[in-house]
Amino acid sequence: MLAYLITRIRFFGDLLNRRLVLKESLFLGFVCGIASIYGTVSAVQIFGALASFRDLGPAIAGLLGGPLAGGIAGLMGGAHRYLMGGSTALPCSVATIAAGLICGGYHLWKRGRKMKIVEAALLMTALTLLHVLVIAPVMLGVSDEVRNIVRATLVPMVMANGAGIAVFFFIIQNHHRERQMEREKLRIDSELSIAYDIQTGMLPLPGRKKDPRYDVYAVMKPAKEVGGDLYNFFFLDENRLCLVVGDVAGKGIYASLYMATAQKLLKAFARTSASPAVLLKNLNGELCPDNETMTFITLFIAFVDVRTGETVFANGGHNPPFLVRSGNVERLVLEPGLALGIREKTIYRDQQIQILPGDILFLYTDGVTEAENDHHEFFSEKRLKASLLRLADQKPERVCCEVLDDVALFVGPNEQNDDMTLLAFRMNF
Amino acid sequence: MKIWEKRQGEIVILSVEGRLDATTGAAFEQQVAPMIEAGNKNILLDMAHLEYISSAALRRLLLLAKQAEDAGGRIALLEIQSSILEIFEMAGFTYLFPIYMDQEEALRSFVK
Repeated sequence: MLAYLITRIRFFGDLLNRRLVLKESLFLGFVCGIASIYGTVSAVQIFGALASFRDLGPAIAGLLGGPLAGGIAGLMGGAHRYLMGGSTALPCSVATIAAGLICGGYHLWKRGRKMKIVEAALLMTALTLLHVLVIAPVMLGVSDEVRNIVRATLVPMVMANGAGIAVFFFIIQNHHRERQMEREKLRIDSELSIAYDIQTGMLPLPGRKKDPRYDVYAVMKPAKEVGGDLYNFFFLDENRLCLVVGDVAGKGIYASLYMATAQKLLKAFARTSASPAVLLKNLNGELCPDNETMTFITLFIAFVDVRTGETVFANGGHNPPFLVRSGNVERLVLEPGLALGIREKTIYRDQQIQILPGDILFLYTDGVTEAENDHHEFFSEKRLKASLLRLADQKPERVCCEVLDDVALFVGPNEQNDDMTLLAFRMNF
Repeated sequence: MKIWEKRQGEIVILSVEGRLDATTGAAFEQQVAPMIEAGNKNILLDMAHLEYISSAALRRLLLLAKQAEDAGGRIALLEIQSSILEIFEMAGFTYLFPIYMDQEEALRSFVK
């Protein structure tokens, strides 16, 4: 019986709530017809009548595929039963065909609405009762023999068929649910990969062009659920290099789209903004309106004159960068500045610093310091400072890669839970 | 993440315990937004037992603050832990929210 049920599943996948095409109906009818015949063949003899699962096949065909499928299955099962003969041949075959057609009608009446297990069981019970209590006596007349048959077969038939159909629908619905979950998972995975593509597509790769005056390198390592980290570096004019690191609140497609917008706006405003604070102000002015979701972005921007190392910088809510100089690692002291996108009326302030030859300016996002190992410890600023100290004489590329390695070592098998962005800039001697 | 609710006159004191991240932050918003809509626009958020708040959850908090402001009220913060205060200071949020370390003082600030 179970084998009969399971075979169904393989063929019909998730046809639960679909309307079937003609070909599918025919196929369904045929298969259920075979099952119906099997039902007859495997029946139990009681008082010369056969108590069987025969009606189950057409019923299922009808419920799932409509009257055509039900009719075909019913005809096959019914014809087979009729040919087998016996005193109850006619009523049983009629009942079988009726089961198929009635269930088919019910399918039409339901019109694609979900079939509940209880419904199917009740319907089947009703059909079995119809078969045993109505059709048989009607066609054979009410006699002692008939009464005996009815009495003997009623309960087993009702229970077996009712239970049978309940089990069937239960299995099919389970399967259907599993398929839905699989589809949902695929959808989420593809969303994630879209977010990843959006994000990485917006980030510049360190150029091959070598300028002897300085070195710069940046890398963004995304978390599994992609966030909205960004970095950029580009020339504003012949001498001034713009360095940016940012972090969008939240994760997923929203964050990566917001990041893409911010990146584009940044580039658009950068060359006409007199200073980093003005750039932040302009950017903020564009990000605030229509920001219903209150998504915000923290940003740190620096304009570096690569001839002299003179640097102007401004902060929009971002974590302070480190300056590595002669064996010391210190945080830059930042004036307070609000993350962007929250409030239009807010002030950003420019600050100045001189980057000396040999100095490293290290920008990063909190994914680095908040990287967690399985003891719930954070990598933290302390460890980052220690790493930077160790790497004080290295080139930016080495610095970034080794810090990432240090974090990976620290985190161990734990999953990375936030994007990590690192940007290192070094004035050469 | 747990939320405890207390009232002091017109002011609702919400104590948040645990972590506010993307998921719990959403749950937090779903619980508090209807409260504000129902007229409870003055809220004191007690963060003494809040261990961590992610940027996604901060976003939710901003939304609630805006909702309260639009309704003519405000959200004030009480007893933020130092690690979270640091995040607030960095992101400039200390200028967005009134922050108190003393409950009495916080409650009085609503009356003005």
